[in-house]
Amino acid sequence: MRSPQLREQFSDREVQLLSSLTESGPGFYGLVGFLLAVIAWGIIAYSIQLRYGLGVTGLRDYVMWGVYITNFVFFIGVSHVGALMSAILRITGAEWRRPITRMAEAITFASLLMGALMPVVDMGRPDRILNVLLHGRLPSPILWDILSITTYLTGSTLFLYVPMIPDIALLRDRFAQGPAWRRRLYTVLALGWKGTEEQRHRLETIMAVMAVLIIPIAVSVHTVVSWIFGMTLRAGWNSTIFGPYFVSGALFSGAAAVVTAMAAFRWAYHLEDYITESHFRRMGYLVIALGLIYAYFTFAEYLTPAYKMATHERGYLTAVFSGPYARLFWFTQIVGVLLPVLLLTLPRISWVRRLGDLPLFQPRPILAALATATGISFFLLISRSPVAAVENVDTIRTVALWVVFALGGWSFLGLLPIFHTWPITAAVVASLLVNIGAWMKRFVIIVPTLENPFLPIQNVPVIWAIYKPTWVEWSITAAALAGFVLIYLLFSKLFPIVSIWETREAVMEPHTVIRKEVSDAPGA
Amino acid sequence: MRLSRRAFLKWIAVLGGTASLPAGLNRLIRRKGVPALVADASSPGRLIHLDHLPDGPDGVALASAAPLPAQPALETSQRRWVMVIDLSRCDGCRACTEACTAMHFVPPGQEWIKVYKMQDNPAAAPYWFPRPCMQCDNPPCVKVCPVSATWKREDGIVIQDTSRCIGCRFCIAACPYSARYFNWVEPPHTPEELSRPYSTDWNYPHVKGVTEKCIFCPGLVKEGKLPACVQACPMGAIYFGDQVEDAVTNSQGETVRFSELVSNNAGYRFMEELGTEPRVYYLPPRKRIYPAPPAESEPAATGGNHP
Amino acid sequence: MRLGRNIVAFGVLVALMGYVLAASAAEPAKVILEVQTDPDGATQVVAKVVDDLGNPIPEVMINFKARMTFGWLQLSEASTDEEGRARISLPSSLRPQEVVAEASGETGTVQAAIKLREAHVFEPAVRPGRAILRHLSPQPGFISPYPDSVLPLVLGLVLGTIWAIYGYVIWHLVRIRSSP
Repeated sequence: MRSPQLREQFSDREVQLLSSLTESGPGFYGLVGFLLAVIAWGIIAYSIQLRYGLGVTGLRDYVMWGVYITNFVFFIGVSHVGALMSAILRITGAEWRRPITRMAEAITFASLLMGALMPVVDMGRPDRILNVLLHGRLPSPILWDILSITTYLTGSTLFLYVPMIPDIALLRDRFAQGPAWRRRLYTVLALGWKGTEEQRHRLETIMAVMAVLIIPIAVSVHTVVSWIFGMTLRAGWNSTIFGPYFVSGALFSGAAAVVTAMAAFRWAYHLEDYITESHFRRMGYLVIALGLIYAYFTFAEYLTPAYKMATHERGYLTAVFSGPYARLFWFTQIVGVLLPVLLLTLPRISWVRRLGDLPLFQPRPILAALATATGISFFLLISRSPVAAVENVDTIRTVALWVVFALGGWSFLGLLPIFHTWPITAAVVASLLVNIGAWMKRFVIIVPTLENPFLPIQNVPVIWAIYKPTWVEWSITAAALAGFVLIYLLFSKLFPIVSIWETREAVMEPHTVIRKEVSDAPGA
Repeated sequence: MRLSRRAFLKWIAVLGGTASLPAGLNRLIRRKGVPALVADASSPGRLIHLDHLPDGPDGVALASAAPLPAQPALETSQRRWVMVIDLSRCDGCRACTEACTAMHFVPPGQEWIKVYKMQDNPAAAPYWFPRPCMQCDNPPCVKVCPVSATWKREDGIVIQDTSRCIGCRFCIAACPYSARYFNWVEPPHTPEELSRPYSTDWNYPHVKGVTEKCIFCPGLVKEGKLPACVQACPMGAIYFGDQVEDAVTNSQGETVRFSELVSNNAGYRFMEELGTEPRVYYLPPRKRIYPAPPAESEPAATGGNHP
Repeated sequence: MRLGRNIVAFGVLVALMGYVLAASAAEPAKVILEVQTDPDGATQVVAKVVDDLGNPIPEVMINFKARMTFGWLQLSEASTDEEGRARISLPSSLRPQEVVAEASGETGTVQAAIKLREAHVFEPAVRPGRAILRHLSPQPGFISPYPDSVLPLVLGLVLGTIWAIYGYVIWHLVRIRSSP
């Protein structure tokens, strides 16, 4: 520790948990600078959009919602898990939750802010945003969105803030470092917390109430978001299960986001003692369960119209299953759902380790397989038009594609023993894939339906019928992501990202999982 | 019961005094070089003869009938504009689209009344299908608008107020007829367009970042004129009128009873199964009076195809 | 005497001729229009055609037209009876502003019009805005099976409950702050 003073005031455990607040290396400043640059670039892109109108995006009259609304649904989805997961874990008394609940709740807070910003970016006339208050129509689902997101943001802020009070009081009392504004902030936010019996009692009451209340609110928020689509007549959106479908997808992607955040903070702030492999294992089980629920909903959502192939639904179903969006859709299903679930499941199975002993799965054959697959893929890519002229070339291409798939599968199996050795890496890879897939799935929900309206698209330029996001949209999307990371990062610099008093409580309680794990871990 | 001339002239004088009455009130009696008939104020609903009436303008004798007690004037809410499009007359010339675009200064890229080429199934011949805004009675766009920028008027028109619209495009998503358009960029302006202050009746000048659509030309209708597309149709394929009054008129001056026109010709509403209750009726393209559109070019089945 | 007789005879002859001439030239001179509303709501339009002397003329074709908002609607044609009356019944669904009866003779057309309603200019009264929040029924003709008050009631109940609980939580926070 840099400051010997800190060492005097705090116990070793506290010093470790608070080090992230005091120590900021070049990595931190570099990351913040990078994020600010991305955000600045996004602001430039947005000002261009403000100046010239939404015409600078790829959106047109048919596909009039695109990347922005995708981001909106994605961020609201990610925001879901924080509050919901930590509320459920609190109510069920799962003690292992203690080091990760604050991380999850802060994800909710940061991504809700970004999610709520996205519809404003998408608006044609952001200067008239006050009309929503002046002339708001209650029957419009957008008003429901505004009401529910406001309610959820308030609730999740309370839910994040209240259990932080004892930690803020600790910082106020013993954190002499840092600028004056920071101490003032802690003083105000600590609410005069002294840890008296009455204060503790009130805090517990609040947490009990909020943990119960936040669950229906969180469920309702994503349900209402799905109704932006579900309340229209469009084929593909006109679905009764959109509410639960979106909620399940949100939980899946949100839980995965928590895994990513856990790994990032564990690595950056050296929290190995608090966020252990067992946390990743437990979160992995949660992600698996939520992924299976989500897969079930996807299956139910697509099978019923695909079986009937009604006139109006044929268009988007064909586009999604075998048309222009097939690659994206199957990617989200295989790489975004199936593969993560496998990655999280297989390393837990003991015989997987023995795969590494087989000669086929030695590094050299695996590398050879990967190289062959890459070569064939490259050949397929460059040889598209000339080879396509030859007869029977489709068969060749199909066979080549299957060979690539087989080699990919082989390499995947070869990677399994490695993932078995490093389960945390497996969990991080899986959760990143889940989140990439989740974003793409939102895109696949929104765009193909809009490209296949009831009336045929006629007499318009081809680019109006096919959506291609422009650099403005990508820049603003990147800025939103950077904003999310930045809010999250600054939060972790201002407040301890692992609850100090809650983990201490757990240590003092006997017979808890966390106690065993913490005491087993090598001393800090 | 006859009205004495003196009493009548006195009555006319009273009428002249109340000159604020609409001009239409005074032009009741038409006279074509023959003795005219005037109303008797004491027995409403009955017209009787009176010699040597003073001539008003246009050779129309001035007189007035008392309003009929049993037949009150149409109340303001009793207008329900309705459109009937006879697909057997539409030859796909797109004069309606052009007239609409010229009248409303519609920004480029938008076709408030769009002529589709449709083919319901491979066995049926293709036909032209003009699609204005359907002015639904159960309008999905109005339901979802967060700021009442679009609403249902008492006369059935789904109006659009671009001075209130926030540009969220939810209405475009909700509209199953693709009848709504968005000003993605600042629309090009002309002096004529900018000359009129904005009103929902005309829906211009246009501004950037708002939704626009066909609004049944309330400005023209208020002046007693047919909407621009109806006037412009050279085939008389588009009828427009008041459903309460039960009469629709086309560009060729044919006025027919709406209920008879629709019931005798198997009139239908487009995508009735969606329950939007459109105010635009179609007559099937049967016994066409023009050659069918060529079948081979753009695919035109429902379900959405890329051009 | 003889002269007088001749004069009388000539007078009678002239009178007879005049009568015959007058009778043969019974041109429709007036059309009297009358509207009767039956108790069941149907409207009868009766046109009576008389000549200059006020005698009814039978078997004249009367053409009935109705003035609608954008044009003239041909109703039907009817022939006058012995009493010189032709009648049509207006369908109850039809609401013309004016009905015209036209009788064509050799010397011209006699036309009579009766006004049934004012030709009014339509100005929509409703301009939704805040009115929606006050009394949620701004849009006549809007098909909705639900009472207008259901939505604000449900939303108000749910959100009110949630925000009341937030208030309870914040009250606890205030108590934490003010506790000794």
